[in-house]
Amino acid sequence: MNDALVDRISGGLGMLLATSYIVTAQSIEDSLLADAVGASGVPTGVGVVLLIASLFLFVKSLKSKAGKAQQQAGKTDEGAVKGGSEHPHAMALGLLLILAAYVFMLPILGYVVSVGFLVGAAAWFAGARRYTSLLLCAALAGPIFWFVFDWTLEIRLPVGHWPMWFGK
Amino acid sequence: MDSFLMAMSNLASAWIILSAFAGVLWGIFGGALPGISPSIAMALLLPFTVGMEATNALVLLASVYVGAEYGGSIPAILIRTPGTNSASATVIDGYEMAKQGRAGEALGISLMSGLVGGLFGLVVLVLCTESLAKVALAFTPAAYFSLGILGLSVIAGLSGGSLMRGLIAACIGLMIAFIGSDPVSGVQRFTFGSEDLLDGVKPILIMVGLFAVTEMLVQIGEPPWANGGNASTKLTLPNWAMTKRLFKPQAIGAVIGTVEGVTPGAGGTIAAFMAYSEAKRWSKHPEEFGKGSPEGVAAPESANNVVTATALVPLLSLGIPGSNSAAILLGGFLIHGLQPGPMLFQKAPEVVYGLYGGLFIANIAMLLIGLVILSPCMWLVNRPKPYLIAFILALVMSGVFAIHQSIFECGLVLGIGVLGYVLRLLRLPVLPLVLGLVLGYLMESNYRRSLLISGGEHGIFITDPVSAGLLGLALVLTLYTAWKEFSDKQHAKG
Repeated sequence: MNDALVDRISGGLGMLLATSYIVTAQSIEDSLLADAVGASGVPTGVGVVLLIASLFLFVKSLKSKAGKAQQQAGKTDEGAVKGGSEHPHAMALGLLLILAAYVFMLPILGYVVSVGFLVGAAAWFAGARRYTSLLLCAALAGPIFWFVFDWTLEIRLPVGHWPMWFGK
Repeated sequence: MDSFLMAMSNLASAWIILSAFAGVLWGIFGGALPGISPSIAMALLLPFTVGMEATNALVLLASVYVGAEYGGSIPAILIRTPGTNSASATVIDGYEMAKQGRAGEALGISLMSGLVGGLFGLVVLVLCTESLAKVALAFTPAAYFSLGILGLSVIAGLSGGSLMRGLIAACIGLMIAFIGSDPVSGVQRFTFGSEDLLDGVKPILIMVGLFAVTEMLVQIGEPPWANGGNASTKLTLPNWAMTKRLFKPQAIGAVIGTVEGVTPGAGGTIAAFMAYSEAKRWSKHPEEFGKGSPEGVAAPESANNVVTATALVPLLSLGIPGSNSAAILLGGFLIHGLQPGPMLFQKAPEVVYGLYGGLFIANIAMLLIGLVILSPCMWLVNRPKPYLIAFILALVMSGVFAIHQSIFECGLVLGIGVLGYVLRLLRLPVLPLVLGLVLGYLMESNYRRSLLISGGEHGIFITDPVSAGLLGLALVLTLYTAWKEFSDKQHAKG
């Protein structure tokens, strides 16, 4: 994407965000303890600043000669990085899904299993193909991190539903 | 001078030396783990200090603080994950240097700047506590608001050449800061009925999401690192020429860190960002900032390490804990029957001077431990990329869970990671966002308190001398930046 197009999208999204933010801020009900500015006063002010800045960026992008020239020439400066994935956004989405699965699993399967899954799945997804190393890392990650956080730092980590499943 | 000599006399105590080394080691370990803030690292040790002698206990806790503030810079440089809030500014050039295969140099600069900052802060603490305490007392709510404005005035320097983009990002940061209970009336704002958001969004969650998660989402689609596994793990300390070059940014960091440190509530994060921006402004090579400038590492690192000492000024002299870490240290004093404040210097001078001596040893310990552990840290991040991504994510997600044992916050961090990814696509700078986030509560709460005091008169921001001075400084800095940008553009044209 060229600079003008990026500015146009940023400006457009910024205006949308600012408008919805101001509307939400205006709907905040003040309590009897409220001061003259009120709970919505400062957020509304920031929303207005965002609206003006976004509008400025949007209008500037429309006026940008360089942007128009680039668009007419169909020139883009973004795409897959040489040597990297041809679909970087799909890869990012895939990794995000693995992370989301980890968050979902954590309270159910407990910390040790979930971290093992996260390490194994993320490393495989990132390109690790030596399955012995992969399995070893996944198996060791949970106990190692558990040792650091739970045993050393005394931060209690979720054990999951295992005790319930095994009748404890 | 008597106080300085008394502090030095404590340096020979084996228990103080042991406490300082143990504290720094624990602090670096905690600070390097995302989600374990200096105050958490200190709080974890607090119960163990009950049976200790008062001076040793306080040296242990203060050394954790020193170690943790330094430790936060290690993951910031190596894996773009600030271990502490105040290491966020170090990410900018530190990580760029690491990507260029200069991790050893960046870590060496960070270590030496941390040492310089820590020792400078200690000298300030020992010699100027009484006079600087008056500065802290002079800060009214109006002055705090103006301090926030001064902090925001550095946005231009952090915007990567587009002030409007920086402004948009700062507004998003401020918006996030407003989530939670209203600081005056307690009304819920932007929580959408979620109890998890009542306390707002913790800055460390934003930073871990924006820096670490986003970076991993980007890295997964990029080619293997050029240095993959073969990069040097040698720590490079600055040579004489580099030391001379770093003097100015370190001095800038030291001065800003001193002012921010003695101001309760201001903290190392604002100091680090302001030091970065000012170092760039006064640098002979401003074009290198953001692309791996050594000065860009030195300034924030010296600033946030100065704060570890100067943040103790309001605590020791007035009994005011200006930060969470200082509050834990206050707890350490109270456990041993000591009440920080003006009388502390009369009632228990040996404890105060023992603490000074311990802080000196803690800074030396930071240097020695840093020299030992940094090469293994570099070796760790030179492992094959797929495994590194996997372990970084596991570390980050574990650290996030460790903050409040909250699954919600784990999900929130993923959302923030996506936000960071979108911001990158739109080329919106994240640093102004972080600055807005850090300053949001400080500015709003003090703006409204000021108006309550003045009966709604905005003139209070001008009539208060400290506030007027800070606003004037913000105006000068903004005008200077605007003039410099204009002048640079004219040079480029002609």
